[in-house]
This record gives sequence, structure tokens and C-alpha cells, in this order.
Amino acid sequence: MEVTPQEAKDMLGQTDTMAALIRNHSMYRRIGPTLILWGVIWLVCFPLTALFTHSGWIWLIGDGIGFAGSAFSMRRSNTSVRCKSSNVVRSRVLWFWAVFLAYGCFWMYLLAPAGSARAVVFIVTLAMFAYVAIGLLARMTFMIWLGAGVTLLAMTGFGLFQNQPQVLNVWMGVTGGLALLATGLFITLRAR
Amino acid sequence: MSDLDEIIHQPIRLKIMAALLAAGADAEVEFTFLRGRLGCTDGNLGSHLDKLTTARYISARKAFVGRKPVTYLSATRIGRRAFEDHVAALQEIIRSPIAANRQP
Repeated sequence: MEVTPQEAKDMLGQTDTMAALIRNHSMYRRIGPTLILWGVIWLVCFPLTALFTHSGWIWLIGDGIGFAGSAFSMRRSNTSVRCKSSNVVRSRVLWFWAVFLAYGCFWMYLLAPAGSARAVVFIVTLAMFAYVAIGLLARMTFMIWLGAGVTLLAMTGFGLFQNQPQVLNVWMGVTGGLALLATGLFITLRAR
Repeated sequence: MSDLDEIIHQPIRLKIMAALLAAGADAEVEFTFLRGRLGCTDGNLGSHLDKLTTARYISARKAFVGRKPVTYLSATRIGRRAFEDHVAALQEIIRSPIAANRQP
């Protein structure tokens, strides 16, 4: 069988393309609806936080719905690629987020009064740091861009509204929430 | 040095094996999904799958999702090994084209 180096290179390129397509499909099918859900939660909870002095309960409900919804969505995602080990991965991902956000809330409680502009930016950038880290580890470029983009929006908001935490909450809800929502919709449609 | 595998060498079959291996060691891929991604007809894909099944490189499992019959495909251990050897042979050709093409 005679194969030129160029033909061999083309064949390997085709296998890489196919492999990436398969990996992205199952990843997008699982992450897309979760991002849409969190986008909606941000759109609702951040502006609501601006309206109430004691707003801890808003995020307790919002995060509760978010975690329960993410677990449900990952379990029910109808993907054409089935993997027996994905249950283990799913539960690890959910535990990672639960521990990570508990850590963030703990330090936010210690270092900054709840509801301050610093607290808002801290928790948002911490979550986005995790997005970037996951993007780098799992080779998901869209997560890196999303994390970096929302971090930039949070820092811009902080620069503009650091003395008006209520306005910053609305800013974060609208810009960050829409960014999550749009990315979720985009990758869900791409996975079809 | 690994040899090129004549069964996997055909472009569609190479892509089928790449897809099944990329899905994961314990994963299955739906027939219709694969057909859509490869741009094949049912018959064309079916004949390639037959060749791979005969070589024991892949296995097929039929199931029902609701009332709809679905065929799931997965790579066998023999298939994984054959694909990895084939890829290694292609990489060898890129590295040293003259030596790699001197195969029986």
C-alpha cells in the first residue's frame, strides 16, 4: 500500500476533525442548557438583589434552582453519544462547583460586607475564573472566552458603579446573564 | 514499526473508527448521528459497518428509545488496537516516508 506523506497528513487531519466533532457534540449538549439556566438565574437574581436590603435568600433560592436544574439537565441531556462513565464525571463536576462556590461565599463573608460592589465583583470573577480553568483543562475554547468576557464586564461595571452596588447588580444581571444565555443558546444550536 | 491496516485505511471507515474512539472507552454512538456527520446514505454506511464488524473492530447493539429502534455502535478492544496501530503507521510515514512505504 503506497501512501505519500501528504496523504498520511490529510488522513490524520480527518481523524482529528472527526474526533473533535464527537467530543464537542456531547460536551455542547450537556453544557448548553446549563449555561442557559444560569443566564436566566443571573438575569433574575442580580437585579432582585438590588431591590432588597437582605438579599441572601434570593441567591439561596437561585443557586438551589441552578444546582438542581444543572444536575437534572446533565442527566436528561439527549445525546447521540452515550458514555457509561459520564455519570461519574457529572457528579464530580457538580461537587466541584458546590465546593468552589461554598469557598467563594466563605471568603466573601469574611472579607467584604454582603451586597457591596467588591463582593459582587469577587463572586462573579471567582466563578468566571473557574470557567476559564475548566476551559483550559477540557480544551473548551468557548468557556475561556466566556469566562474572560464576563470578567471584563464585571471589572468594567466595578469601574463605573463601584459606589452604587445596586446599579452594579443590575449591570451584572443584564450583561453577565445575557452573555451566559447567548453562549448557552449558541452552543446548544451548534450541537444539533 | 506498525503496518497500515487495509480495512481501516478506507476514508469513511477511518472516520468511523476515529469517531468511535473519540467517544470514549465505554461509549456508544448512534447510527443516525454518525450517518449525519459522515454525510453517508444508510446503505453506504451499513456496508462500511459490515466490514468493520466482520473484522471484529466494532460491535453494534440494537435498542428501543421509546418506540423508536436505535442502533448503537462501539469500538472493540481489537478495533482500538488496530486504529492506534494504523495511526502510528501514518505518523511514521510523515516522519520517514521512504522507510514506512517499504511494507509487504
